[in-house]
Amino acid sequence: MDGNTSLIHLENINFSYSSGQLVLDDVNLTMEEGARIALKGGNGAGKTTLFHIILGLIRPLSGSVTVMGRTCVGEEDFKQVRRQVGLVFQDPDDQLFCPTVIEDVAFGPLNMGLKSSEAIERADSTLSSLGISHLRDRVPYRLSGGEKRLVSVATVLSMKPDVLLLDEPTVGLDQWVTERLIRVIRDYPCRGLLLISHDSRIADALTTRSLVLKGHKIEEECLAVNSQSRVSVSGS
Amino acid sequence: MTCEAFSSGSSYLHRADPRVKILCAIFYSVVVACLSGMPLQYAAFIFSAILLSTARIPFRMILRRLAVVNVFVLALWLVIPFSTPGHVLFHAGPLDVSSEGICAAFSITLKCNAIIMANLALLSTSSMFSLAHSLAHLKVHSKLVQLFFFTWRYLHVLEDEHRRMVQAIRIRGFSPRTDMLTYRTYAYLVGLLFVRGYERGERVYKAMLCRGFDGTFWLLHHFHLHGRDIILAVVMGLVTVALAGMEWMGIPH
Amino acid sequence: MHISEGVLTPEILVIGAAGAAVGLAIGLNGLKSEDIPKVALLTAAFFVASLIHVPVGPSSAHLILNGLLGVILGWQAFPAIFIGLTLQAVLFQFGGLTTLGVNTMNMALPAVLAGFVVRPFLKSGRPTPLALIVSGLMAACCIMLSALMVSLALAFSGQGLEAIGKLIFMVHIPIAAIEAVITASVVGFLLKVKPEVIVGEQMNRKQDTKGRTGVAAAVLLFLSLFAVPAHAHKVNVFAWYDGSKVELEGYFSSGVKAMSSPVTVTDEAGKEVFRGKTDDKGRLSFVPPGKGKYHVVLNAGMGHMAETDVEVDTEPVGKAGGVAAPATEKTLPQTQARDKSVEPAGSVRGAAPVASGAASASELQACVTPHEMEQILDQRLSPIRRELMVLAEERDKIGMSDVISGFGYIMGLMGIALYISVKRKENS
Ligand SMILES: Nc1ncnc2c1ncn2[C@@H]1O[C@H](COP(=O)(O)OP(=O)(O)O)[C@@H](O)[C@H]1O
Ligand SMILES: [Mg+2]
Repeated sequence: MDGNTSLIHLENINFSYSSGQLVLDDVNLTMEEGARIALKGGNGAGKTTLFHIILGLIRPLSGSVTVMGRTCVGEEDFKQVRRQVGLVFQDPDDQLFCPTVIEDVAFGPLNMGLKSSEAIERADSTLSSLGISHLRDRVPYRLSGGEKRLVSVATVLSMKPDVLLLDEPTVGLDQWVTERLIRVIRDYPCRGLLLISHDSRIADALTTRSLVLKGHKIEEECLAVNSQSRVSVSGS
Repeated sequence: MTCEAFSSGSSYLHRADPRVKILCAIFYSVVVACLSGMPLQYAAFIFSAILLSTARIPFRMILRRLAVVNVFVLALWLVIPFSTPGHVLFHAGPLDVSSEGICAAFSITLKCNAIIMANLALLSTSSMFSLAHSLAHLKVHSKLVQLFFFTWRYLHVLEDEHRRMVQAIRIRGFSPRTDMLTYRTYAYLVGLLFVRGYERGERVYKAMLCRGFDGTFWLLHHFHLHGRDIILAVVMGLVTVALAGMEWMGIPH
Repeated sequence: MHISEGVLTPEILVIGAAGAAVGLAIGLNGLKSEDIPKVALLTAAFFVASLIHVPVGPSSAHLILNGLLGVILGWQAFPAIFIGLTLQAVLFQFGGLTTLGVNTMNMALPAVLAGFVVRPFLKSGRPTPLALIVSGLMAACCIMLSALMVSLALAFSGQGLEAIGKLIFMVHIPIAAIEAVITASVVGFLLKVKPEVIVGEQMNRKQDTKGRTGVAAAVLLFLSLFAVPAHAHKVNVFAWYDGSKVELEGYFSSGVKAMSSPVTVTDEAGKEVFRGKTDDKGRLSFVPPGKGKYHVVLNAGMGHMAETDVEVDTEPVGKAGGVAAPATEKTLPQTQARDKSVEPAGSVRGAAPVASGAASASELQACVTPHEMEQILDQRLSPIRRELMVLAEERDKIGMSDVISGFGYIMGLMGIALYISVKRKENS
């Protein structure tokens, strides 16, 4: 296994929910160091499911998950994975549960074992790097959709993950917040990025390669048009 | 929802430590609920009113809250004076109005309003989250605090979802009637609400796992007792103990 | 269906709080850490659902759904309902802080029972007609049980409240019918759409092994709730006329005397003829103004009243001399002392000396008219009357209710112990 070079390696993953309907059929995925991949596919194709499998939130019926060279079997393995791989959920409300923004952003660092002063410091610097320090003491559930999204990204970035998984981060965002999000993610020094999005603005700006989840399997997407626009954006 | 309507403000009570306020509210309420003599009930009523006035909540909002609560008390007034046996004051048609009944209804009115006013002053002046925080600091069972906390957090989300669902059935021409279709529609609405709640609960837990959660909640906020908190505790404590003591000794009768 | 502040007696509040503590301890003990968000979200869903108003003819009622909650959550219905009620108390001032325990008990205990009954029928995870019918029926039972508990809590808190209790019970009959329909449909919906909500929970908790003890605990908790107040809070008054004055005694079913309780006596016309207070022994005597039927009302506080009629069929002997009831009432310490000194001779004679002074003059007369004979007999019989009264007290005191209420207290203590042990375990 090429565990040394690949960040994430999925092999022959099969999965179906308890309703019995097949979601993933023998899926293979390899993410190399520095890869920036867009994952596409129709609604209900199983993209979110795949992300949850990578982080061990649900377990595949068969197949293996290898992250940073570690083949993950039990909860302990995945606990380690969750420190290195940050997942931004589709719905920010799923992620933000604390009474204040600062507590929410410090939640991850605290769980990583930082002292509360360090955690708050880390949270504050994350907030300021995203330009949302002014939201610090606000109540997350009363934020606007765009603000919630930025804070939910901050909660993940504050843990300083090596790999970022973003699940449809721009749904419901306006042009302005979308551009801001693109800037934030592009400036974050991560070793790998896996993005689910139907929004070509963000996919083109952040990724270099596209995969499609179709018929319960993953295929490579190759469209000439895309590569052209990609070049133009990444040059900016 | 007209939630937490009174929680923002800058009065003495708004600034007081919620831990102190919770403890005071509990002890005071329990003691007032046990008062049996009318003079003490009066005293409690007056004290609660004074306490509430220090919270500087707009008078009209308070009246509105109290009015709602007193609908129940009014229902008692419509029954108790007639249904309590005792010395008959006068006859109202076929029913006898007893003086004991009137006293009983009056004493319930006093106690109910005294407790509610105190709790408005002490509890409603804090946000639900700071109450939850205080409960954690007061060493209430942590699972209970977490449940309380998450319930409050996601109440609004589910309420939004519910509102959207209701709007969705409205625009498809639904209007509530007393028939099976209506009840079934409401049942589906409720069922969907439970499904959404269940699924969101799962996702929230997953999101917490992703951020390294392993069962401990770290308390970031720590409360500090100030002079004003100690004054509040002492005043409330003295009043509560005085009421309890006089009740215990049976004075005044 | 919540009871407001200031209505219930302290006894009921304490019983409710103890019961709720037991339920909470069991519920929290069985709650796994990873299920907290899920249970909280279901609690929130329940809270939102209970704000829904459904039309009932010209009026409308809000859903209660505690049966459904019991089916979905089992013992976790206790914390869920407790939290729902706490929120309502703090946000809207519905219910209240002191009644939190009682209200939680009233709603959650029937819910847990309903859960135990319905769950075995849902195991298959399919919406069979039987499963739906059982869910509906139990939802209705659940509402009626809750209404019954509310009514009883009110009834035990004062005689005047009994009528309200009955009213509340009646009002909930149509609501129970609606809840039955809605709960059955919701269960059907959930089994079709997302059976995990019902079945998944069940599998997680390994109900089978704990089920039976759970049912036993719930039933016991339920029974103790009824028994304790029934036992503790019925006040009785006995009154009899001994030829010179009327004697009366008030006591609670528990045997505790109704001490220094105000007593009012009215004649047939409703005019008040006497007003006084019982002494330390719950006793009081007074000289009636003349022949006739008198109505005695004893008020033991908190709306507990007992009443009785006493027939005065002869002109009271002591009336002319004016020896009097005021004396008995005013010289309270004396009465007390005398009673104490008599005690060794046997409590049966306790009341006799009170009468003897007044009657002794007539006793000395050699010639005994039938009327006087009757008086003497009355006097002689008064100890026996007392004996009968003691017997009646005993009869009231011992019974099934004592046994069960004993259980109630033990359960309460166990609950507190369990709670503490759970907390300890958690801390370590
Ligand atoms: N918790 C669940 N239980 C049962 N089925 C689910 C669950 N979550 C998703 N599914 C189903 O699995 C399929 C894939 O879902 P998902 O991964 O969310 O799709 P995507 O993110 O690509 O839109 C869908 O058909 C969906 O209905
Ligand atoms: Mg998705």
